[in-house]
Amino acid sequence: MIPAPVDYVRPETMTAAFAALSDDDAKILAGGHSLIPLMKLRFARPSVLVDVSRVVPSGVEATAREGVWIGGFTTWRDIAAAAELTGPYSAARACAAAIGDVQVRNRGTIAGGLCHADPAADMPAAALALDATLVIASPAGERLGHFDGFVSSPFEPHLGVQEVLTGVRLPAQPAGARSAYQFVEDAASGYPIAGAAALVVVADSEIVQCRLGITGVSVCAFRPLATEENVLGWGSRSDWRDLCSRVRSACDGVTVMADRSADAVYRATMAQLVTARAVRQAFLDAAAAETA
Amino acid sequence: MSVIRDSWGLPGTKIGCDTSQCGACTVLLDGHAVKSCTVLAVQADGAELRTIEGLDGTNGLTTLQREFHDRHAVQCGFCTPGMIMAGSALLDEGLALDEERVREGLKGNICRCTGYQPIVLAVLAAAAGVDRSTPANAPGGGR
Repeated sequence: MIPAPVDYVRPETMTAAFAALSDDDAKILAGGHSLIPLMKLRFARPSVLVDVSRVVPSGVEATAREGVWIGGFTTWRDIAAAAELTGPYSAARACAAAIGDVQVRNRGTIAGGLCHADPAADMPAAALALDATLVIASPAGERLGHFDGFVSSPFEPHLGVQEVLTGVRLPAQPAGARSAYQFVEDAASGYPIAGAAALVVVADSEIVQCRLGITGVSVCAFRPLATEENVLGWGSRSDWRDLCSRVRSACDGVTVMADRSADAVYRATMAQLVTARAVRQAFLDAAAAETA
Repeated sequence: MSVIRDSWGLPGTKIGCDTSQCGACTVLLDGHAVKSCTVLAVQADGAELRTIEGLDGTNGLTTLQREFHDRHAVQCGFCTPGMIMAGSALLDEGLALDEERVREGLKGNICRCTGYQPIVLAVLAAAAGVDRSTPANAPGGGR
C-alpha cells in the first residue's frame, strides 16, 4: 500500500517544529504506529509529517513531591519497564504492557498514543485514574491541561494546530495509594473490549479514596463518578459479590459502543467486570502496603 | 520496508498486511524488533538495522533457525523471517523463557498455517540450546 505523497521534516528545535506545524494539514509524527498505517490506507492524507523525535523528550523521572514525569517520546516499552511507575503508578505500567505487541511497544510513544485518541486505547484509563496532566508546548509558551477532558470525540484531541504534547505528569499520590489496570481483550484486534484502571487509598482495611478510568467502551475514556463513590467502604470485610454490585453503575450515562466483537450489553458487562477486578487488585496491593 | 526490499534487494523481509498487524516484515532496529512496514526509512536514520539476511550462526544458521528447520516450524514459510527476527529479539533479551513468555513475545507475528505450536517449541528449544552446547548436554538433545 502506498500512502499519498507527503513532505517530511525533522526539526531540530521546537521553534522550527511550530513553524512546520503552521500548515493546517501538517501532522505530527511520533512513533508512527497509528499514523503510518492510516496513511497507507489513505484514511489520513497529511501534507507534511513533522517528525518530533529530536524535540520531544523521552524518559521517566520521579520526584517525591511532584510525582512522575513521562517524556512524550517515551516508548511503551520503556514505560512498561519503568521502575518509577510502580506502587501508586502501577496502572500506567500495566496499560503500557497491554498495548499491541512487542514491535508496536518498541516504537509507539505515550504522546503519540494519547494524541491519536483512539477510543479503544489502553493508556487513557490509567491517565484518568492517575489524574494525568499534559504538558503542551506552543508558540505562546507552555500550558498544562488535565487529561480528563483532553478527548471528547474519537481521534480528535483538544490540541491546537501548533500545539505539541511534550510530556505527561502523574501527580504525587497519598502514601499507600495503589493502582491497577484490568482489561478484556478482543482476540482479533488485541484492543480492549473494555479496560479499567483504578487508583485506591485504603485505611483500616477499606477503600477511602478511589479514582477510576474506563476505556474501550465509549467514544472516549471516561471516569465513572458514581462508581468511584460506590466502592468507598469496600474492603477486607466485604466480598467479591458486594464489589460487583457496587460497580454496576460503571457505564451509567454513557453511550456504550457495539461492534462485531461485542454488543453494547456484553461490553457494558465486561466494563463492570474489569472495573471490579481493577478495584480489587489495587485494593489488595494497597492493603498489603498498609500492613507492610 | 520498500528500501530494504526494493532499493537494497534483500527480499527476506516479507510484505504481509503492510499495516503493522502481521509481523512478516519484522526486522531489528538497534536490536529491537520492529515492523518495517511502519517505519519510514528516514526514521531509521543512524540506527543499526538487521534483517533476516543478517543473521549469522555456525554453518550459516543461528540456533533458532536450526530449531525452526529441525522442528518443521514452517509451513508456507511466509511468516518465517518475521517469526525468526521476533524470536531472535526475544532470545537476545536473555530472560528466562517459558511458553507464555514466548507466545507474548510472538504476539505481533501472525501465522496462518502452523497453529504456532512448533514455532513456540522452536523458540523454547533455541533458548534451551544455550545449555545444550555445554559438554553435559552434548549428545544432541534427542532431536
